[in-house]
Amino acid sequence: MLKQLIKKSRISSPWLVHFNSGACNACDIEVVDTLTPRFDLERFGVLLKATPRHADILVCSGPVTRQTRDRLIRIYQQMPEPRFVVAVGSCACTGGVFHGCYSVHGGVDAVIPVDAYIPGCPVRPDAIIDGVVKLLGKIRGDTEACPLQSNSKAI
Amino acid sequence: MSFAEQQQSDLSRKDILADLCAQFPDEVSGAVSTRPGRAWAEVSKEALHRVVEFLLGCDDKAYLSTITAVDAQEEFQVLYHFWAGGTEVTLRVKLDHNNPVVPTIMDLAPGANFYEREIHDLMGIEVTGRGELKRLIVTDDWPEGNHPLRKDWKGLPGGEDDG
Amino acid sequence: MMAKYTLPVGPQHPALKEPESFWFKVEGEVIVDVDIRLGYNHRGIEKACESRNYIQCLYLIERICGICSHSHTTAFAQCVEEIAGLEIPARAKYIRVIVGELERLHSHLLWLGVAGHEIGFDTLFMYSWRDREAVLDLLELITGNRVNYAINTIGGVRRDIDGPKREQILSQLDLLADRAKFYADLVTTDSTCLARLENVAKFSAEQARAFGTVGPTARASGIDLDVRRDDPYAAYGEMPFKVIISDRGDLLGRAIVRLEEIGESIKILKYALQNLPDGPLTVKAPRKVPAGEAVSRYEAPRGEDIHYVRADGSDHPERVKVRAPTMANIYAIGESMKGSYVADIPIIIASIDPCFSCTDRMIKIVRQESGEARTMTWEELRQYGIRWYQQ
Repeated sequence: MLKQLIKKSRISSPWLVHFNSGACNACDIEVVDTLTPRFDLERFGVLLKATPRHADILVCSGPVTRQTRDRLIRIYQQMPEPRFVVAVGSCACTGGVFHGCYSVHGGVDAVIPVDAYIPGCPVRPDAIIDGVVKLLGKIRGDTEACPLQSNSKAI
Repeated sequence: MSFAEQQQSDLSRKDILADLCAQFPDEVSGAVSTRPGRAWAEVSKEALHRVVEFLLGCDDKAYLSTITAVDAQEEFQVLYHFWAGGTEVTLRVKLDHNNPVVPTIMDLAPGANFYEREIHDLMGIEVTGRGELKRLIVTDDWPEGNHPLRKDWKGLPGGEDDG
Repeated sequence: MMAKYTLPVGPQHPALKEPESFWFKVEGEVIVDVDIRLGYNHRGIEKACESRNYIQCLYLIERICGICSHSHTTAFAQCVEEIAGLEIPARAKYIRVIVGELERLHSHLLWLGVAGHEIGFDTLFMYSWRDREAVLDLLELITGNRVNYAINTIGGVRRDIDGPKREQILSQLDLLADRAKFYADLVTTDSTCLARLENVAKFSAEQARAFGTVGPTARASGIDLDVRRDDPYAAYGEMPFKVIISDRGDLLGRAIVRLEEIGESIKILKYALQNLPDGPLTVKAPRKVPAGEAVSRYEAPRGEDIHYVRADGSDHPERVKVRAPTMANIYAIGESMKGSYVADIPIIIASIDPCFSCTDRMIKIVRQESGEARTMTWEELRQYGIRWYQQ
């Protein structure tokens, strides 16, 4: 009963934490852009929180660099379960143009499991909203809305 | 004459290269201007400090733009880019490949601090006459003696990481 | 004697390719020392360029920074064009100027929003970002993408601006000019802004020059430097504009310089659109660039952006060096913070516009003698700053 209530509130008002693991800033600005008047992500009850301890969904942009890797894992572990990860942008999905650079580990899924991938360079705010809404469908158990499969390695 | 050209003519674009050669006839060599507003010259590392002092003092807008290190296979080159006298002046210091050491210019241009730490991190150029060259760019656990911008650098020891 | 604390801020800070982590030593509310650590976003672009051909490099360099992407590609293309001895067509030069100035508009509006957010003035944040959307629409109209425009190529530009597009851009510019004037009035008269910006983190022209600051940060300290005028590239030699200088040296000065630059950018845009010369968009560029080297400078929204390219005659560069403007400014900001209050940290860092808006940074206050630690997030620090000023 309580579990269902929690699930319901999580779907109605998911809280996000945004983390830049080495992005060029374009995706980060677009993530912030979704909060501004034209896109207004808050109408879905989505709030951008500052600390991972309050968040349900980790929005991660950029390839994972050597220096941010440990920090990313720490932030992931600080989040309460169940936690979900959205990789925003081509770099976060696969490493993008930075694939193979000496200071880059690859996409976010090289380090932590990812639940939704939103490609684009940079991702448009509309795509971010679409991605988050699809992820909410997945949480609800609505597999049709999100035929995604997470094939990422666990840490 | 357009508006911007008028503005431009108010600024004196001094012949900084000629001044430099006149001031340091023995220390500066290979002075060449590739186009208006671009000047290149080679200096020995012993004379670097004095030449930089002269450049920064030549007008009240002169400043250090950045420092570049280049691995030219047989030697290292450290390029000091200055905006001085309405010209982008690049001073080239050639260094022995086995012993790349330059004196600091932080006492003349405090902004050089980060640039010197950067060339130390990425190219392994030692800078003398200043405090410790703390890590600035590479990770905390970066192995000593790995300088990614060197041409003979083949990647980190241990091969491919888990990425 | 008050206890000394160390206050680490960061490391998550996504400014261009140089994010940083700050370690502040504080005595009570006053910062006494600052240590800065970069490299969290270090991806190794300079090395990666050495194994890619020039066109591939252009796409990589576009992604150094998602806000000044046009600045970086223009600076890089100028280097390569200089080495190869290419003179790009006049129309291409104008289009580079137009995209560059639109980029400056969106970047300055973005900065205004971030600054508003950091001082607890979120209405300003929402207003300026709403107006910024209009600029992004124009950029999308010209280039096909909101950010990372990919309009530059070696030897010219890839897309044209035709008649209807030109009319549409011109019609939006008047609106933006009005808004810019409104913001300039607001920042210089509103008591919230004045209380937080006036006489904070001052540095003199002497200091600004010694630290090598560039762009609006330097101009707000009375240094008369602007690459567009001093070392004209693209078509800037023909553009009518004035270099905005303020001798205040404080945060308010930096705000005024940026806001007035919006007006100047609009002037440049109008001139460039009305006088757009006819002709081709590109000249043919060789695949292999002859051996040589060049330095190119570009006035990015945040200041002078320098690229150095060395070619060895093959189809990929031998060395590419990028010095983005934040690298030049961040050291100065560290120095100017000494003596400021903890509550001012967010706005001081934001004042050099290091694209600061977008992430959560963990802040830890460690009490040195007892080792007692308290962790604050960036948001909490911001709230702390706002509350501190309400008292």
